[in-house]
Amino acid sequence: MISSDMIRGYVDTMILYFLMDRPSYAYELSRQIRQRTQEKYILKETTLYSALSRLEQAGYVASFSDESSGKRRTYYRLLEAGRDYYEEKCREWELIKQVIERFIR
Amino acid sequence: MDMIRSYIETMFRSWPENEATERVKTQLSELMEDKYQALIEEGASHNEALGQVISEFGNIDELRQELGIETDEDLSADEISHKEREILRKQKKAQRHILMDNFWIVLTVVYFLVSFMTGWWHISWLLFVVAVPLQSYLNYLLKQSEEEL
Repeated sequence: MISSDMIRGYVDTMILYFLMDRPSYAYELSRQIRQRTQEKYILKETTLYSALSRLEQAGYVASFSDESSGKRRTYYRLLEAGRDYYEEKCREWELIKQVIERFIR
Repeated sequence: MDMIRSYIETMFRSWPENEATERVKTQLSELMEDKYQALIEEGASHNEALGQVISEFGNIDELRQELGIETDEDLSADEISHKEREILRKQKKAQRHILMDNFWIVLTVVYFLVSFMTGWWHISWLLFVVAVPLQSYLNYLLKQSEEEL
């Protein structure tokens, strides 16, 4: 079980990973993240909502309403600033990995 | 899904009633309902699906902190001490009124007592003269302690 404190810093990255490809809605993101972590990480509903809300506030994503799939849903799409932020997080992770590796036996 | 909606309403009952709260509730409901539907389609029973959706809800207090929202539960602590202070203030006020009403009766009794005991009728009337500013001052002091609450 991954401690939620540890992973908290990277929930944004997980969400943005999928938004880099195309806009999406909350449940789809939740499902994709779960699948990609191979069930090793279960993103709580409130955690996901907090992250999306935060990303929107920061200007990294924009939300819009869409009914084309039959049901009215709130979709999120990546903005330029979000793209940059995502790249930053990727570089940050590379750095963290390099640093911490040296302390793992 | 009614049960999901009820769950949400219950969880958010102490949140302020505004657009921001409505938004959170709507978005979370969407997410939970989609998840529920997907689980049903995968073969889960109604109870299993509902159970899983609810067990993966997360922490509403963390959410509240993240969004920086104050709930009634936070405010009520202030409200309670405010109410307590109001009650105390009212009590003190009532006590003050009773004291002031009785002041003159007591003063008259004291006047007669002193006069009869000392026989100083020629000056004991001064008690009444002194009493006027004294009573004002006493009233003022008691009022101050009420205001300080």
